[in-house]
Amino acid sequence: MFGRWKRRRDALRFLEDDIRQHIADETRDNIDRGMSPVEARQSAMRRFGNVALTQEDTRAVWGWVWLEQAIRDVRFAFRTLVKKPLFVVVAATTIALAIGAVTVVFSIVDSVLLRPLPYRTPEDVVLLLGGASIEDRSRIQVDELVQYRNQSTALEGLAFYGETRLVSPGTDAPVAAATVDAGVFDVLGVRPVIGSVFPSVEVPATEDVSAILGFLAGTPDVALVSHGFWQNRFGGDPDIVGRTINLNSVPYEIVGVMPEGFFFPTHDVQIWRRLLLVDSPLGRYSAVGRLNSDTRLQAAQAEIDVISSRLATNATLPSPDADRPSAALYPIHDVVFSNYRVVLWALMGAVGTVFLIACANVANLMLAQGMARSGELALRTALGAGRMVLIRQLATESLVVATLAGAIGVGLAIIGLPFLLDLELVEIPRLETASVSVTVMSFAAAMSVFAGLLAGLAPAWKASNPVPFESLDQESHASAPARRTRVRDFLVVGEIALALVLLIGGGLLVRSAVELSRIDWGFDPNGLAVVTVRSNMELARLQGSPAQKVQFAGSILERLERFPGIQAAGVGNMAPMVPTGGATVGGRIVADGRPLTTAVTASRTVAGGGYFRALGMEVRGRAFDERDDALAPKVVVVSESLGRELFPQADPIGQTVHFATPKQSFVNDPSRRALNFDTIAGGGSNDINDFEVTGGTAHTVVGVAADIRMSGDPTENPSRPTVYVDYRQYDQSLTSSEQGFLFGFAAYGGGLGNPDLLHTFVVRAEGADPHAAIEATKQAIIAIQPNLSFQEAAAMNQLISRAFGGAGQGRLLLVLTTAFGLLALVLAGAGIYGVVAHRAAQRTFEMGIRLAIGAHPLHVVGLIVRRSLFLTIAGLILGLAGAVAGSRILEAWVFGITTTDAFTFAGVTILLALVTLAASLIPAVRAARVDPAVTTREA
Amino acid sequence: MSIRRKRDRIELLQGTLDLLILRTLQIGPAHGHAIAKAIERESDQVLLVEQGSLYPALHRLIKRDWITFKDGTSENNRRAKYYRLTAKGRRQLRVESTQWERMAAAIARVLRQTEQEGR
Repeated sequence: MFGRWKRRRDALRFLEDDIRQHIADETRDNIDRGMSPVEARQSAMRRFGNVALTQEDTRAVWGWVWLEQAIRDVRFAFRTLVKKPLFVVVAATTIALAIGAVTVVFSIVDSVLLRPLPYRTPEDVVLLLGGASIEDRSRIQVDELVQYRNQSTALEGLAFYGETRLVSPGTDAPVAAATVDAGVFDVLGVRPVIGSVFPSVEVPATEDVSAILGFLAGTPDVALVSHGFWQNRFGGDPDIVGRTINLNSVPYEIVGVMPEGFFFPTHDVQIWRRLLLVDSPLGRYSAVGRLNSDTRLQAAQAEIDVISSRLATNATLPSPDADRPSAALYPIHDVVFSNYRVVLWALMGAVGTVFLIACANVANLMLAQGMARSGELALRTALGAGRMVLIRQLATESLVVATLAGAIGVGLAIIGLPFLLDLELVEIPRLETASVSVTVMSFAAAMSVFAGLLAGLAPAWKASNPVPFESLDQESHASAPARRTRVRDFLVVGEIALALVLLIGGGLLVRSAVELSRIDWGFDPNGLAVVTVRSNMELARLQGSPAQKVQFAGSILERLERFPGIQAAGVGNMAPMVPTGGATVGGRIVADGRPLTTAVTASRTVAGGGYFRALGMEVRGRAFDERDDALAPKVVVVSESLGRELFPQADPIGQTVHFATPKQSFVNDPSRRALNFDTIAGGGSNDINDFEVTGGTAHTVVGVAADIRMSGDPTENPSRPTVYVDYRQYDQSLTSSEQGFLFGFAAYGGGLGNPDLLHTFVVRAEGADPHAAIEATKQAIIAIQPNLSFQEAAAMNQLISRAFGGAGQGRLLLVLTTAFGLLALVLAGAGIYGVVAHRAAQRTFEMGIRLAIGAHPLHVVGLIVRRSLFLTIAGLILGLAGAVAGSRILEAWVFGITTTDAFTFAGVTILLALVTLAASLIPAVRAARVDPAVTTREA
Repeated sequence: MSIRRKRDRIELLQGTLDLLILRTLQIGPAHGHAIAKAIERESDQVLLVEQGSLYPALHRLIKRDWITFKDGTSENNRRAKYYRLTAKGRRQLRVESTQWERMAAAIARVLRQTEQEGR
């Protein structure tokens, strides 16, 4: 095909020159014969004839034959197909569904992964990140970043940025934002559509802190906003530049609006505020750079490695990190899509499998058709039709069907895609831009042709190879053994295997979803509202002393409890599903009279009001009540797991426990109290000998609370030991927050900062809908302190689904894989039905004879079903092997079961076996019901 | 050319030109004008090639893979294609020549019989 195309192109190139040359030669000959030049040329032109016509005729030589042949084939195909509408409908529907599914998934892949990022030459943009991999990325210290910037030659510009969340009045949740160096926009090569980028500011390099602070005070806070934010929050105000916005209670002047579709570094960032780079060892940022046009990523990385080893040897101060995170360059595309790539390609794989099954099904249909037509084809062969001619004609038929199906499939995709997007199953960058674009349509067209070839070529090849006389002859030998159908058997086995793989994938995801919904949270998320006050300095000031904390929270709780729709209201320093920014406070708890070495590390929750009732947690013994005020004997409620660990043999209720506190000698030893990030997690020390218990640390256990899951992390141990302290007794039981210790490292900016503030209100509404309760709570808080803003104001169920962001991708996978799996099930069922029915039809005469001479109908059924059982088992074995190998890619989305969950594997296998059995029983029973008298006579 | 000369010439039957081109190229590669000239010369100026029809015929043969071509330059340094017989073309020439001869002989026999009966 292409060889001819190339020959045609080469032959027709310079055709005009050839003709001109020809006429010139003739003219020269004429001159040699003695004509005058003018006469010679005229004579040559006459001899040659109409030049334009000649050119046209010559071109036509190349054009019309194949075109006419194609037209003839297509017309012939149409004539043939019109005569078998059922085949066309079944085949076209099958392929149309497959093309539709492929198109939908590809339109997502295309818009999310394949379209270039909204930067100038995005392939040159790289991120400099700490950590071992994209998944474990971390930030890099400012002083090191500056060295990378100064020393690197492979990077053309390196600009710093940090991701954060900022609270702005009027929003229920913080806005994703980035703190960026002005250079970021130069590196990315993007300018605002309105206004301009903020000017870069150099903070003077001086040791004089007051000079730096003075400089910062004199530098205005400025920010750029995203196009969407401008539209939604400012109604697209054309005079946006110069307006101010409050972020974390600080006014920022808006200097510009970024173009639509621009995002950096993640797709949800709405605000870019100016980074004022102060050289502080605590400052940590990421960096974005641009590779020099002649630099490859590896070369740039090699340079970075050299610089970082130099930094490591020159470091005067030991790095606060035990393991110095290595700095690595990543293409920005890899970072932005690191969480989504696998999901999308997994989907592409799933839908590709459906596509293959559909093609196999249609190929099977065509094979059956080919056998039915073997007489016709044999006749045509006998009359002199070449094999290629027959193949071409048969392949054209399947291409016509596939083209028709492709058009329908694209239509289905255009209709179906918005529905899928409306489900809002998952947040993926740029997902909302997914559409059936020209690229997608070209892809769909290519897939249609591919489907046509896939489904049509093998059958055409096989059907075009009948031995003419045998085939013609066979018509009269109805009892002859059915022709071998090895290709069809192979296709059916493949179909069953692929369908099983898909179904198992879908089954694993369905089971994970069931497991997820069955999670025992330990509290009741239904009808539960959570309102978190941002723990900014305002709140810290309000809650400065223990008494102020209690007063602040208590007065809000009082208002809430009077509200008619509210059953219970409580307050705490944390609540389930509320991100703590990585910081939770804990303590070492030890049973009275036991050695310190038996101390159990537990996280500590300060609870107030109806905290337990609001969360719907079961408490054995009693929860805190009005008795447990600041002056009362100190009491705690322990979680079941903590109670079990402390008192394996006894009932914890009524027992005495201690909060182990650091010894005075340790507290007073400054050399041992150096700010050390490694040991701050141990309350300043990892050595239990630095701790002691005294009479003042004793608490009585009054209740045992159910274990609850604090986060949506499915791998989290749900029974993390927890000790609950009443908010009124809090400061007496733990003399300072230093005494508690931090699990993990408090993330800057992102979380709630000070984990000791009472900022989380949990409110149980009367009904299932907590939205009125959310509003009431916000009102109650604003009534007490109008300046506070909210970090979070949402129903617990909302928080849970957000916490399962990873499972959100799982949901997309779940919905699509299950849909594809069911489609595959139907297709495989139809496939095996087709094969068995065809075989049974071929053997009607044989079965008639068997029945006539006394075979039991069940025996006939068995004869027909036996072979399909063999095919099914072969397919299932292959499919199980494939599923064991393939299900591992679902690892990240499988919850509560393993990727080789026996229950799922067995259940799905049985389901598929039953479907194929049913599909083969129908024709088998029909075959057993034939009237021998009729069939034998008919043949 | 004069009217008298034209009357003496025979217009080519369809398909004959292809055979003549193949035959001409059997001697060696040539470009378009040379092929036309050769056919006229070999047939003692009896067979008149309408030179324009040469080109569709050449392309038909290229397409059937019976001849191939190479871009070259002619004597007066202009670009011109040189056409050459392929192995397939050589086989085809043998087939067609035999067929042509058989047909010519058959026609000749028929004509002879007609002549005899006419006597």
